[in-house]
Amino acid sequence: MRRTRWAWVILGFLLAVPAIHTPIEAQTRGGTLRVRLANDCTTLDPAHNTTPPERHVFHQVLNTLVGVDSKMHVVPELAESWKWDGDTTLTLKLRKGIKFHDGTDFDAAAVKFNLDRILDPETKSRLRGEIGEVKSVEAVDASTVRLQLKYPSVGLLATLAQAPGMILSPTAVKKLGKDVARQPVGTGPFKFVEWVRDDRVVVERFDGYWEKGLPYLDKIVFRPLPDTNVATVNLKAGAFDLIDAVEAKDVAGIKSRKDLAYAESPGVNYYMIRLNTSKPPFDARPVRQALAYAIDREAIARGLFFGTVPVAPGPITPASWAYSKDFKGIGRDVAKAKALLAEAGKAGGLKVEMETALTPIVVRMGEAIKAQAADVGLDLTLVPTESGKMMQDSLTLNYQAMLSFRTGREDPDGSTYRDFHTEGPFNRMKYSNPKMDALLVKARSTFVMEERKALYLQIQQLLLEDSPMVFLVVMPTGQAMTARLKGFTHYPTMDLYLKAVSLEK
Amino acid sequence: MAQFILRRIVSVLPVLLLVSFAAFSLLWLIPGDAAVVILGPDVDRGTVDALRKSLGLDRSLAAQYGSWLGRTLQGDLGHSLRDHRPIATAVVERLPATLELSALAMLIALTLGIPAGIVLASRHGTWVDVAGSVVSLGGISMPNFWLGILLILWLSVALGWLPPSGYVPLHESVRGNLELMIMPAVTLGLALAATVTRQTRASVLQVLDLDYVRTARAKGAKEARVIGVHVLKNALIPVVTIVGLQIGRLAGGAVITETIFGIPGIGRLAVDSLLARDFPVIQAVILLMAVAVVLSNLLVDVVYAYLDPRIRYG
Repeated sequence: MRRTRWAWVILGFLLAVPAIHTPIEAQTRGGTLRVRLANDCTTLDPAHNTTPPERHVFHQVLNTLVGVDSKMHVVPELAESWKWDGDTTLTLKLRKGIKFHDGTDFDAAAVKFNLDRILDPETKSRLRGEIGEVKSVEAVDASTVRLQLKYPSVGLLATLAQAPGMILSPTAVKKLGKDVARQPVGTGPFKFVEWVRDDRVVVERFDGYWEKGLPYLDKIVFRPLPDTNVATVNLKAGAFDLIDAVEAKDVAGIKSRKDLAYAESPGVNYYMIRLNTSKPPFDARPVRQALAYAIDREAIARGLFFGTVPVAPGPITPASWAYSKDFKGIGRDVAKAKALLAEAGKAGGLKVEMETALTPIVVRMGEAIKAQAADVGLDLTLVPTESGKMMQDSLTLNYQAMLSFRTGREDPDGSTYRDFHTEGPFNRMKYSNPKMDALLVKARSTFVMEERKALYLQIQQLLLEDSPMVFLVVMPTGQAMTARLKGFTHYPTMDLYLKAVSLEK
Repeated sequence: MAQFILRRIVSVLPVLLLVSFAAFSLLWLIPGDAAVVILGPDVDRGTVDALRKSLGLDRSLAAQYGSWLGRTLQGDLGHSLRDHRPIATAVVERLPATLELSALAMLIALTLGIPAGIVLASRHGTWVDVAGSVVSLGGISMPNFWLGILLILWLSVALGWLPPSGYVPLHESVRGNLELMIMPAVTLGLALAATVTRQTRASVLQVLDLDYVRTARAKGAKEARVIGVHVLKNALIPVVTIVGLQIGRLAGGAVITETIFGIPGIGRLAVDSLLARDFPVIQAVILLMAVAVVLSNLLVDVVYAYLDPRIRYG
């Protein structure tokens, strides 16, 4: 295998240029944007980030080491370029002259401080596992950082575009201590102003922002309002300019209005059924496949999501560059499902218990799947289960089947290794196939994108053969806003990046 | 009277102890390991064990309850798992919004409910009574999340008269505060008004049948005086009881109403803490709400005894 690691460097430089934003049409300056959050933030310390609403605030106040574009390719941000030496050394070149909101300089020491802080067990950061492959961080000079990895992990770069790569001012962290969780200080286009619990988070334009001309807005007010129906009504009443999620049933209503705009792209999160391969009946591969062939994913996408979402052929959704158009996944085939059950000696049918999450959409999906599975002789008993118990049951392998969802990551490694490698931290199916393990390791140590893509295709094909998990449909990503909002880019992760957004008068 | 109050207070103590135990047991009653539940699925075993230890989950139930109760009695409600702030601070911040919402809802309930109940009782058997009873039954049956959304659709989206959600503290802007509080207060107060209407109607009807009312009428007292002075004095006693009992319902309704209208009150604190699995806060909020309900019932008992001497000597 030939490693063209320089391809990454060149890619980095190529992308560095368009990263400086140049508006196509003149955008209005000023104004206050009112954004709805599904819930209040739990913390504003990125090292403890758990929920999407927090990230909506983080992306405005903080920069990440590298960024992602809307196609989930890694692009330069605080690091203007990077280079792999061998497959376990990553060197990042940082931009110069960037200042934190508190006036201190952003440099390699700040990067080391932030990464070390996450890796330090004392911090109790939930992100520690996400960058667990990092052995050490070294500030080579003021604008060069070198990461030594324990094992090859190409996906690390994409991870650094998320919460683990967010950089706080070390001075502020030292000065504020735990209080930094209530007043983050970063290098982002907006600086933090205030957070009134359960009421609002306010950020305002940072005049010293390093991307010239940005941001356009003077101020952003984030307000938590949990109920999605109520949020949509609030948008229509003009109390919000942007809402971070829309239910599939409301999409048509929003699209029909001239004063509103709607945005979506194929998402990275998907609904799935997890199967316990350590216990009957799903220890038998044909039985697992039979369930997979029994399900009509198109019908679910049409009936429950009004055709707003694509089916999920595997863990890599159409949002990813590693997605293959020709890979269709498993479609409904009643005859084949019956034959598979007969092959497993269960021609007379089979009773199975399936735990289902309590969200209304999952409950309805469970009912649809129950009806579809009955056609092939699988008699599903739906057991609505509280998420805490579900988590516990999955950890202790005390279940047969589990209907829920998985969240995908920017890099395909992040969406596969954790679930399907024998040692994967979220392999809650006790699934183990040496061939799969070898493929996953190879894919995370391959530097050429096309080669990686081919490997992930093989991985997904093997997943269909083994079916430890039944893939259903991609989760909706719809977001809605006032038509006065310009320059909005929708991201498959539904994260909000608002530096290039403006509000027409 | 003092003896009566003392007796009531003593009888409330075991209830409070029971409530505190119920609130505390939450950590044990939730399905699954509390530490796993708090941390979520994306976390490794070591982190889980560390949290178990810091929550004291590795100790016996009795030992945990003992130390928790001890701290709570000293006024230390503990710290939030989410942001490590003292829970007492968070509660004090939220209290004004919830108290205002509850007070306004109660005001709406009483100013609508009592006159309506009197009118229905004095028109007993007519179409006014029937219509009023149907409307009040509707008011009781209407879920307040539905009523809330309906009000927003009507008053904010269709007519554009009121802002649909948010909160402005009273001391910042009285007008801004009231504009935002009207819909939530109506949402919360309407079901309560219906209950008060029905209770007032029933007890006024009962009193209207008594001999002394007939005597009052025989003396030639005007109907307004008969009802306003003679009847209400006795008829309102059961209403006081009902109103007291509704305080618990008010607390429950506040959870939903505050969530719909985006008001940062105690109810929102409860919901957000539940969603974030911030158990110390949930325990504290449940305990406080329960204590508030128990104490308001105690107050009702005392008022009741004051209004009706038969009770304190009975």
